[in-house]
Amino acid sequence: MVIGWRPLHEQDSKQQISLGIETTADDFGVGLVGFDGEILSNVFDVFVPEKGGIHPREAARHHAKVAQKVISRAFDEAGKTLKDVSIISFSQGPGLGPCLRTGATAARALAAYLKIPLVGVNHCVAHIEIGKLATDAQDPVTLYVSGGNTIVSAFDAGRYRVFGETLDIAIGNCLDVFARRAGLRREPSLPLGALVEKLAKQGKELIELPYSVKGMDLSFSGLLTATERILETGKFSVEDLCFSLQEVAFSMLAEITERALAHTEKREILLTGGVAANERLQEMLAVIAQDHDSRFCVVPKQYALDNGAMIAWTGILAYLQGLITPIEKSMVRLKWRLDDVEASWVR
Amino acid sequence: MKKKAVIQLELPSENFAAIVMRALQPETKRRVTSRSRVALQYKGSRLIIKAEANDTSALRASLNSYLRWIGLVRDTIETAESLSPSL
Repeated sequence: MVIGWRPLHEQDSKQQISLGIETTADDFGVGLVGFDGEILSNVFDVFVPEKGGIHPREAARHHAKVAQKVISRAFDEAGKTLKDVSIISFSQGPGLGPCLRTGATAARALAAYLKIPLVGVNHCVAHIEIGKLATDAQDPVTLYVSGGNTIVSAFDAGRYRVFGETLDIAIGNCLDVFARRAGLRREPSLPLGALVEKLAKQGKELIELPYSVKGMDLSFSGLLTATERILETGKFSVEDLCFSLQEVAFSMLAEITERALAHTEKREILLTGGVAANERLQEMLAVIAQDHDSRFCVVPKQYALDNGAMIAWTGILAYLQGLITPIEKSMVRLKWRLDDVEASWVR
Repeated sequence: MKKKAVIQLELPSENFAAIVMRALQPETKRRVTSRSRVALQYKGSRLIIKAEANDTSALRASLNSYLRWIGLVRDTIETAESLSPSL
């Protein structure tokens, strides 16, 4: 995430602001966050493809087009000017190359124009840190579920360690692909996952589907294919298929989260990422937390999806450790793993 | 045979050209595609983009990316100036 060293100085004690730019996939997000953790604004514009999934170059074109508008709105909502900004944070990876490069270019331009430090942020770490900030979780086992990532993680020996993860597609991607196959259409205010959840609530019959947990890892591709094949037969309603797909996939997630909790003996579960907004998944994890006498924390909806505020906040945490990313070394990192990051700010 | 293109852009100021250069240069160190390579330099307010690729499709894709990013830097700086005109 961060390369280089910035000496801490007296200015750190006064109120400062981090501007965060998030562009790992289909969102162009900008957040302004105070060094005290106050989120001043969190604005985003989502790329909605006419059909199919995210085409990286088309999404990058969208990001470049809306950048001006989103940055201006973030400042309007915060009631701040650029003079108030002390650092520029940006999602350096992991993510889609063209999208990451677009956000990085805007971030570098701002840092160079304002002559202020740039901080590259790991997107996965940011999802955990915004969850901790918003819920006051101290040392949780985290289930991070989104369209691009499915990870069970906990902090140990200086890093967020990966205890389990998907071996193929992410849970969010699994739900999205199925939704498209079932003819559902995403709207800017209603992601496909939310549509699946809505239909699942009307489902009654639990259809047998493959349950694939391998050690502490998961596989969703076989589950997706099996659900798609049953859909093609027309024997079951879309509602029953959404219900069954959620029940099986979320049970798999709950199983490895519970094992990570038992192994680490931590006292908190944090649910974060875009799929964290799903109430059925929340319900399952809440039961596990209760069984293990642990606190269940779920990231608020406005910070569950990819957003600029989480990047801004994680940038602050790194910067306060004296860590910055020189512009010349700020290349994007498409496959930057969560457990590659030394999270020296975590106590 | 390699396909090559050179684009020279006259930008509003030397400072602007320097910002564009700093914003884009990290990406030239890693190729957008394995089929192309881009080098940037500026002289005064003139930005020079030198692109080389295995085929014209890759050359065009690469140049389109860089031109879009230059437009993005322009938009970002314009936004920055409008948000803090006295900077």
